[in-house]
Amino acid sequence: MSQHEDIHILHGQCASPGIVIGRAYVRKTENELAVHRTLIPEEQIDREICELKEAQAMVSEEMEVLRQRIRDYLGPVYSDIITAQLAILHDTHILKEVEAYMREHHVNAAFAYRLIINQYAELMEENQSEYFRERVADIRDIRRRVLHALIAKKTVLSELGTGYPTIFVSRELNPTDIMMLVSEHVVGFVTDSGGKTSHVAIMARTMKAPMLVGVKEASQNIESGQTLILDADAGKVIVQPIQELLDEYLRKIDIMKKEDHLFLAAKKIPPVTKDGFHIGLSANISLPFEVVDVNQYGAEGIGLYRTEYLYLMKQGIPEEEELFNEYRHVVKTMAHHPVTIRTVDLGGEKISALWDKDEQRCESNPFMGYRAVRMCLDNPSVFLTQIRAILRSSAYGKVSLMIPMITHLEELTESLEYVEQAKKELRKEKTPFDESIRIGMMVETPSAVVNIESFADKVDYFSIGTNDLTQYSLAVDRGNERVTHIYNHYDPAIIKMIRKVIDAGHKAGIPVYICGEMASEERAVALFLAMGADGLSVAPRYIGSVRRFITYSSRADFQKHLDAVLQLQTRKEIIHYLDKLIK
Amino acid sequence: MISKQVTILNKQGLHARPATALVNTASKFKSEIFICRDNKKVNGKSILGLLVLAAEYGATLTIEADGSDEQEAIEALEQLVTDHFGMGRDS
Repeated sequence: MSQHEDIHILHGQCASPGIVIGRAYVRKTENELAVHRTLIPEEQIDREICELKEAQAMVSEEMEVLRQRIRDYLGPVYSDIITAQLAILHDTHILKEVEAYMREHHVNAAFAYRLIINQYAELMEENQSEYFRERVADIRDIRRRVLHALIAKKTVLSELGTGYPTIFVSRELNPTDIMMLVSEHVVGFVTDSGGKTSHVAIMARTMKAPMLVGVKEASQNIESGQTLILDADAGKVIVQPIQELLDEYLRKIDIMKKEDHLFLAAKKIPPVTKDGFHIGLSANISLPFEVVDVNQYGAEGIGLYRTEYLYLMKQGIPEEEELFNEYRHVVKTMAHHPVTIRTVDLGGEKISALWDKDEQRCESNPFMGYRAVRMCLDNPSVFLTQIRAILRSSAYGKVSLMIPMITHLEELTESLEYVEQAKKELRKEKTPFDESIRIGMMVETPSAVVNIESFADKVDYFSIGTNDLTQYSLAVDRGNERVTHIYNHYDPAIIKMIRKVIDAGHKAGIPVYICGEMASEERAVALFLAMGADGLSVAPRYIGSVRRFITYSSRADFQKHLDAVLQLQTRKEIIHYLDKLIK
Repeated sequence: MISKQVTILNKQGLHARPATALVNTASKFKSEIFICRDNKKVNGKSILGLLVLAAEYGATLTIEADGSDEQEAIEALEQLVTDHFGMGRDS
């Protein structure tokens, strides 16, 4: 690679796929905003204070727009997510402190405001509790917004409303930043830091905005106003591309759009192979408004409804009514199509702030720590609340319940006891629910696979979570870039495990579904067809391409090759073999 | 100046919403209101101050009121804390 190219292409990790072209908007951190201590004559202090109040009012308006967007997208409960920011912004006592400081030291408003706010932020950083430590981010966010409005005399939000597609570049992002997307001007995100699995990344994916994270010093190397090609699929952002490259990408985007139209038009074609095998095709969702996409692309149901957002966005444990209303909404919108609701699957670090009142544990290995069903069984009231809400929603459609992260049999039997207890309670209260509701388990740990036969007669179905199964089986943390190359779901071990689970399920007479990124890859779909998987569940955007692949395929053809694939010794050989097969 | 000890009964502690409720109530009174916890003392009319206290479930706080309506202020604030800030036990 020539040095010339090196300067103009920045690399990162894809947190949300897609390709967009737009103009960069780089958010300066307040360190780069010039906040100097300036001496102000007595008679100008009033004017300075007036300007600070104006800046505050501008930010207040900005936050109100954001709150409205959160409400529209996620529902009223979730506008709570910016409650703390608004409260901090409207802290009149702080303004008095700032004013007093300015009058005493004859300094400018920006300097005094930053100083006073920083004092509080520093005190808060010392806190033991994660909830309160996390509020430091809210304080910084407000400080940045107010200082920006004070110095630039306009808000970030108003600067983005230029009518030109914008790619937002910043050091880091929080959920309120993502909400700016709805302005329709922001088409993508690039951040210096951040992980692929953060909540912000999930939001970007569900809103179909490409996002690249871990792009080193992006906010310093990119200038506002520069043209960018954000190719998240290839993990790169191209700064100030030459015309030829721009044309090439425009053609690429055009083809993708045309393809998407075809997918939308094919929504009613059933996912049946040329030789008449029907494989269920449903969607994974993480936020309720994705249901629109699910229906647009014609998925046959929701194969995985992740419920974590309800806990994260609320920054608290939701009540049964809130959960029930949310589930019922999704179930009703899906009409007669099945909806599989997974009980909450959160990692220790995220929820400990909500869950553990006394002690904040910082886990060195959260994926192997206190999470998902482990946390639920340890907090029966929280678990029962969610189970009751899921059961109640089953009165409004076709619901099934799914329990994640099962590693040993007792976890499953104990969970099922809670389900029975919740059913008993509801019957006693004469609250309606579907008595024939299906209960399934996610198969995503190696121990569950090895012992799969002992689980098969306890549940109505298996759903293989290929992401976690791969991570746990190959002992690799996907977020760790030094080992991420080891993560590969075409490893012979993974293929054999999936085969084993499907066979065991069928022997026991229960269906086996696949959810996880793997199910959206054509070569994997060929494999799943050959193995006789009963259904696939993929992100809504992949419904179209997977459907096309299924309808163009012959299951019998793939079946002929299954034994050969299972004989192969390396991932490379497997991938190569499958790619040749689907050509 | 009068003072009163209270215990936080909300499961999630004195987080943003209850803190806002406390500030709103405190601001209705002319008296100066301070909230103390251990060696920290903050203005009861400041949300940032209250967040600095990081008062979790079960934390003991001292409310101080000083001014013409201090008695009413203390009573109103004590009531608010006992009522889980009007937000229900689990919040």
